Amino acid sequence: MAKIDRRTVVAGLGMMVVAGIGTAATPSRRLVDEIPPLNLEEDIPQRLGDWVIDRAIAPILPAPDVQERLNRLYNSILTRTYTRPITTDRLMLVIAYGADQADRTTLAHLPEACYSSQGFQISGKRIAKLGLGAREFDVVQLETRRGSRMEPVTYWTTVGTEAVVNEAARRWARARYSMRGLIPDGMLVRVSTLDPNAARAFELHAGFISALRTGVSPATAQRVFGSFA
Amino acid sequence: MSTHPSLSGPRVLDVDSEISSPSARKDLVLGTPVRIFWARWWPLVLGFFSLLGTTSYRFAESLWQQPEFEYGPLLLLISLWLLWRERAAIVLARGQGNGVKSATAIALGLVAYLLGVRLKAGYLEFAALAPILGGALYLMGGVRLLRRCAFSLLFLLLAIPLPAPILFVATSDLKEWVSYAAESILHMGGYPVARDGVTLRVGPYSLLLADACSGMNSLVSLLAVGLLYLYLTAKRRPWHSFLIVAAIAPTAIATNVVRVLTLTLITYYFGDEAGQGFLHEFAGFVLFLVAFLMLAGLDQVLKRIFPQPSPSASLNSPDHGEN
Repeated sequence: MAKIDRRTVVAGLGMMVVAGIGTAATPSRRLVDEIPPLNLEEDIPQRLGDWVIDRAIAPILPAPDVQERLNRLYNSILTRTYTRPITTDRLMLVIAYGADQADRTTLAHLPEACYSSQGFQISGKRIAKLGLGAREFDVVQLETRRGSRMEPVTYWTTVGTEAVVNEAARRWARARYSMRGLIPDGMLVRVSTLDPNAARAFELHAGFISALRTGVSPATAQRVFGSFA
Repeated sequence: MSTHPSLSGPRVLDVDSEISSPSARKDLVLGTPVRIFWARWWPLVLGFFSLLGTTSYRFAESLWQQPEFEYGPLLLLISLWLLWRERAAIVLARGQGNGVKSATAIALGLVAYLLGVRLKAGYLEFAALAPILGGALYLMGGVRLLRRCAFSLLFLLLAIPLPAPILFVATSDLKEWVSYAAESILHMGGYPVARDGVTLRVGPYSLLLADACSGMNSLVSLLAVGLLYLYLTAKRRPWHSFLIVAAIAPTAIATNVVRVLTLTLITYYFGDEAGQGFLHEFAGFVLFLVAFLMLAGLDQVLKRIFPQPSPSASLNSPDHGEN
């Protein structure tokens, strides 16, 4: 008989077993199949506090190549312009929803990446705490600029039923779902205004986000703001 | 139990010391090294390729479809080809490695691999293949075989898809830098140019540098081609090789600046369509060739500075089996 070393057999079999386990252990259960479906167009009211949808402004559609990328990346994207008739403030709300946040190729892109790849420069970034009801809610505030267009952005992301505002927390949330064999869904919620005064803009965003929180159903709030809300 | 003599154990291939024993000579005549190799090492070969196979299958469905990782499968094939080139040495492996060390490397690799798969962290899953392959080669043929196959392992490492945050930072920094350089040069040339972040305005046109313009892909590709060129051609002195390797990144970045400049000027003189069409692809291809020729030119210059090692030094391969 050939003298096969025992350690060779153990190592080789170990590899084959791990290859098999790997194929079986790739997360395949989708969280989205186990929770009520989300319909952003209906779930997000057209009226939030004193904000109403601005029908005068047709949303500016992205360039065709960008749109194609977006379609591959997200399952649905809600793009709305809200206005407050008394003050004529205008605010853009974007919710980009993806059913698979486990795979990096369909992971929601952060505004840091989207804005800079559209030629915006990001001049400031910080994490702020908004008072939503009794709790504090973390958001990211970005100051972006392209030419003379100043667009302060407030955003957060969700992974499953968890709201996260930094890359490490998002990785950790994704990992916890993956370890349970679940593919989490998730979204990017982004609020922005055209305003050279960033401080005023962020305050406006905070007011809108608070109206959004109280304006949606508890079930929707859990998806959009995470389970804490 | 007696079986075919060719399977009577690879010990006989200890050519350095045992070739003189009569039984060894008989086995060497009757057995073929390849059959002996398979008889002894098949679990490792099968094991490694089942890991690589399932990983490639997963990657082909997602990561390798992304434009930023198009080069992945190619680098993997080069890595496997480099391994195949060393088959003469691999086949003659007779278990010179330290079992504990190789088992540790393989075990750590397998744990990382499983974690990578479960977390869908492609870089971890792929990177884990390196210690597994390294550990297997070490178990087979010790440090000598590991060293012979080092280049194959290096290409396996090059094929690792970078984690998204690292890739993002590298890409945006490169883009920023490339657009800055292009603006400065155009400005010196007297063109009406202005830059805003990664948007270049030249005359009436405004050009936004896409991620592909960062030159990240051509950087990795040129690194691969450059290293392969160094490896496959005659031996060089360490400093000679080092200088060429050190020149790869600046060359790739400089030619990418030239590419962006070229496309900007084409747009400026011939309009948007000219700059976005066929020339866009063509410029990339031509400039990659130019970058490689520049490296080859540098190699020729360095040859004059550093005399080649004598040919006998490059034939220094005691475990290649021919002696």
